[in-house]
Amino acid sequence: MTAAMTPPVLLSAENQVEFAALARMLHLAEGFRLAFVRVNHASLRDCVVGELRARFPEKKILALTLKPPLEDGTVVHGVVTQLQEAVGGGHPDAIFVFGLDAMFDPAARDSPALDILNLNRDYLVKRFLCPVVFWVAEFGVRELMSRASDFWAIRSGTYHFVGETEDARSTLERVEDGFDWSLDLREKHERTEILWHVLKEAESAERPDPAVLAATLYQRGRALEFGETADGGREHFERALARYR
Amino acid sequence: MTPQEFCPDSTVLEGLCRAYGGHIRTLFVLLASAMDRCDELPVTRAVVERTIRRQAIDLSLSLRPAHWDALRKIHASKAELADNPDLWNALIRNLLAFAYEDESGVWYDWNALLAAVPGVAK
Repeated sequence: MTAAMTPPVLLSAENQVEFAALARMLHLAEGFRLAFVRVNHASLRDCVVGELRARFPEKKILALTLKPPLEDGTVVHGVVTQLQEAVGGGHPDAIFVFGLDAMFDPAARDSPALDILNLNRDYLVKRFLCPVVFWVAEFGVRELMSRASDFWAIRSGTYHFVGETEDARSTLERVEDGFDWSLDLREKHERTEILWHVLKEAESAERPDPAVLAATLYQRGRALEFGETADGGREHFERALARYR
Repeated sequence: MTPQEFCPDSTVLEGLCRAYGGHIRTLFVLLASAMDRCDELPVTRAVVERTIRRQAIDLSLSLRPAHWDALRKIHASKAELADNPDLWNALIRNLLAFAYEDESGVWYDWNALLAAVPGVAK
C-alpha cells in the first residue's frame, strides 16, 4: 500500500499530519466511512476544505450545512433526512457535513436530533456509499460521544485540527458579532462552548498571543455573565484586564 | 494482511493489543487510523503511538473530574462502582469501563485507552 499525501505548507506541522491522514482516507475509501473532523474554527475548516477540494478536483464532494432545529428544540428535519435531500439521486464521492453542533443545545438535557441520528445509524451505513465526514467543534464531539454513543461507535476515523492565532482572531470576531442578551439560548450556549475551547487552544499555544488571550477571556467573561454563574464572569474579566495591562 | 505486515515490531503490536482493551471495534478504529497516518506499510512505532494517543484524547473529551475519580477507582479496585449505579451505567454504556471474565471470575477495569491520555498516571 502506498498513498503518499503532501500536505499544504500553510498548515502547522500537527495539522499537516492530520490533513494527510484525512486526504488519504478520502483517497483510499471504498464505500461508506464515517469520519469526524474536530475543528473549533470556521476559518481553519474552510481552509482545510478548500485544500481538499484542490487536492481532489476529480472528486464530487458534496458540502451540506445542516438546518438547526426550531428555537423551542423541535426537530423539523433530522440529520439523515437533510442528508438524503441533499444527495437526492446523485452519487457524490464524499459528503462533508457542517453544523451538527447547531443541532442541539449543549446545556439542555435532551437532544432529539442526536437521538434520531443515533437510531438511524444503520440506515446511514446502507444509504450512503461514500465517506461521510462531519466537521464538528470540540464541544460537539464531546456531546455526540455521550448522547449518540452508538452512532459515534461506528466511526472509522477522527481527525483534529488545532487553530492558530489568526484562526482564533477570526473565530472571536464571529463570536462577538451580535453576542448580547437578545441571542437565543442555544446560540449563547454554543458560543460559550466555542470560547472555552478557543481559550484552551490559545493558552496551550507555543507562543500565546496576549491580545487574543485577553479578548477571549473578556468574551468568555461576558458569556458567563449571560449564564448567570456565581461570579458572573468576574474571574475572566480580571484575567483579561491583567493581559491588557 | 498479517500482523507482521502491518508492523513487524512485536512490542508495538503488543502495545496496540493492550490499548484496545479487548473491544474489537476499537481495534479496527486504531488500525484504520494508524493506516490513515502513514504513506505505506508497515506502520512505524511513532505512528502507532500517535494514533493511540489521539484516540485516547478523543475518548477523554467527555470526561468530567467525577468521571475520572470513578474510573481511577475502578482501575485500582477492578470492581464495579457499587455506590453510584447511574454513573456506573453511563461509564459502561459509553465504553469507558469494561467487564472481563477469566478463571478467577468477573472483574472490571477502565477502558485501557485512558491510560494513554497525556498526564494520566498508569
